[in-house]
Amino acid sequence: MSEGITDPSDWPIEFKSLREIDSHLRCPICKELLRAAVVLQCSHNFCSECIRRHLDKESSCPACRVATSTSQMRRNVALDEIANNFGDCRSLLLNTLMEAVQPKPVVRPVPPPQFVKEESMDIDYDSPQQKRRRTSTRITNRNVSSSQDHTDIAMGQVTLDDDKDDDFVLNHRDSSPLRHKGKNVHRSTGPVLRSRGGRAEQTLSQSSQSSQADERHEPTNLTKQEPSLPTASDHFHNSAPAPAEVQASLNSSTNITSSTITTSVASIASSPVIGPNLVACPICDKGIPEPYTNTHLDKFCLAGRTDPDYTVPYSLISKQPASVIALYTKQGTSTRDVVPDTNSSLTKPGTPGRSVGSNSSTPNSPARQSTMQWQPQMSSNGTAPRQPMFTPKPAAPEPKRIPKLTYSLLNDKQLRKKLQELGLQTNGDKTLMAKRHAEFATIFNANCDSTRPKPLSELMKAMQVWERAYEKDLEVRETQRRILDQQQQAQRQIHAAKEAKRQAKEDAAAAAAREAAMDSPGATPPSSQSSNGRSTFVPNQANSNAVNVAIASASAFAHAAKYADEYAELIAEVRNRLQADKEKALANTTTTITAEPAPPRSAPSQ
Amino acid sequence: MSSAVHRRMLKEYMAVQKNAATRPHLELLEPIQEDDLLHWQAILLGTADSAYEGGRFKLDIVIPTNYPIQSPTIRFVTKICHPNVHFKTGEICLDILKSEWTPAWTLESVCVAISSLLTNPEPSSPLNCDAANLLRCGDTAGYNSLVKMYTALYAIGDSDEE
Repeated sequence: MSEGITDPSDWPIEFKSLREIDSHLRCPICKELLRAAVVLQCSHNFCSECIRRHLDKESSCPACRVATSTSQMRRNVALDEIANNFGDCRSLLLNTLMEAVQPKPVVRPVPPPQFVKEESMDIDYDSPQQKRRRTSTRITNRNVSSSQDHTDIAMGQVTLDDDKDDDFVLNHRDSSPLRHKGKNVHRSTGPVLRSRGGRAEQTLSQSSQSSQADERHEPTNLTKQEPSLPTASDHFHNSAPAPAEVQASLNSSTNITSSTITTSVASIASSPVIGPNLVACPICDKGIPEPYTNTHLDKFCLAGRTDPDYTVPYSLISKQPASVIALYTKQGTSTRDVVPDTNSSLTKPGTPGRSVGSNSSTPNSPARQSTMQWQPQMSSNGTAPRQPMFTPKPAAPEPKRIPKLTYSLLNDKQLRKKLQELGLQTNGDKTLMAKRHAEFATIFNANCDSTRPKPLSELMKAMQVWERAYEKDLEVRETQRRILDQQQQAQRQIHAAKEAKRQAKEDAAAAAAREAAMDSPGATPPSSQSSNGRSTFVPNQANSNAVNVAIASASAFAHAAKYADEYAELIAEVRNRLQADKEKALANTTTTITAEPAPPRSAPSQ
Repeated sequence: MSSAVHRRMLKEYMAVQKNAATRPHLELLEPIQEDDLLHWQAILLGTADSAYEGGRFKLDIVIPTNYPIQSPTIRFVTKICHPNVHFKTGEICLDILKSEWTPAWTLESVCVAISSLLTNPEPSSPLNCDAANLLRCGDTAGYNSLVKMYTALYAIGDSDEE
């Protein structure tokens, strides 16, 4: 689920309830499908990790603000399983629906093999969410040839293509009378898992990566299944469904398919020898007997039909014991009802839920991390319903949560010790250590709540990522602070400069006024002559204003060298005022004495 | 941690684009730069029949790295006359951006909340005392004309000049 950005509105508008389901399976905090769902007292559900982070800051429900705390939240196992499985099958379901809603013209007329390829590509491409990859996604000829509308095809895909669908499959089997054979399958799938030689190897290893408990199921008991072989095949023959039935309904088809898968798998696995004469069809990838190749190609693949006799992919059948292959190559009909993508179910037979049923064959590998002792018993793939969750089991003790610490009460040494106990880094100051501890506690405890817990190593990896992110965050914050500091400093300087300028201007004005006052009596004899006609202060004022403005603009120019832009406005203002003064003086003098305007005119030119 | 933010922001971005038609008063809500999902901008439209009618109000949204847990910082870039918005800084006084923030909110819902704050001012906790005082004195006509003037002055027409 690392890539796909999903949203409830992905669903076609016609399927409103699917949108609803989708939105209700999402955490209101991260808007992802719930991971390790927990429920609060107010019955709102969240991802464990998200709500823990939130409750660290604030103790109220994010949805309704009711006061709550970490101790009051409970795991919501059923919901978590639902969310997990919904997430598993989501993209496929979506694709299928989309195709059903707006049918592509390609789908119907295209012959099966091409159809198959296109389909599988489609699905692989469109389901980045799914960690496990299907080896092959095929549709049996029955499905394609007999389906007359797209919905049918779509259903066929749902039934047959999706490995996630095995979840349903398995569930159905659980409730079916085939239970004893189910067990049988677990044991018998051991060889399949172990025999890594063919093309299925990739899938196998991948699936083993994703389903954590695989290695635990490797040691298997080969002898045990022998007695049940006849029963299995008997049942298989009896229950082999007619094609029409397969499509009758989604449920029944999965059910039946699963039973056939089960039985056929049970019947074929006995010793891992590769069949000699079996080859893979270059077109449909099915396993076919070598001498039959040309016939198969001509009659079926190239003719656009599927071979009813050989429907099992080479990658699967080649893994089977020679006896089975012999049976297969001789009478292809024996496996005719085996749905091709059984291998997807085969690749994950080691799912732990079932292994519980056969304790003897699944010893716990001692290599498992000691601290992560919770077992994914009910962890994967819908197998949980089979085993009631709370069967008395000595194994799988509830993992111990990391208790919350009051960091202010701990000194550095104690905190360091705590970190050491958890296997975390101990560098950095106390703040960092406290944060590190809190982070790890959050993800660890959240992991404890999960029904699909990750191994400790992954948590450690997450911690490394966190460390890096933290460092980067610090750096960024540091730079931001520095920039802010610089800005503030610059502002302060500008402010100071402005202040100084204002001061200088005032001083200059005062000095000019004084000077003008001193000069006026002697320097302006004409004004004194005509002084009776007007107010005596006017020429002085005009003079002083002019000088004042001149000085101010001079000082402004000096500053302008430094802060040209900053003061452009001011200078303009000063100029304006100068102009205004000049005009005013002019007006004044014209009303009184016409000879007056000489001195102010000379002043600005300097 | 930070990747969680990015995931969530990407998700919100896509949701916003999908819901664009359903929010008439939110003209724009997107990251300023495509490569920085932690810095968004939004443009609110003044609702019709309000004093803000015709105005386009630009918001600046900064998202913290622990985003859904911590609230985003939102301020008006366009000058706006509103009792709960600081006239000079554009700071918004809205409880859901401060104490009442919960991670269940999204940027979209917050923008809608701000949009509705425009038409439902809360003069009891003012950042713009002059506007708030007008309202508190019951001078709705004066308040409306003041708002209209500032809207015409800053939010209409010169919206292209950022």
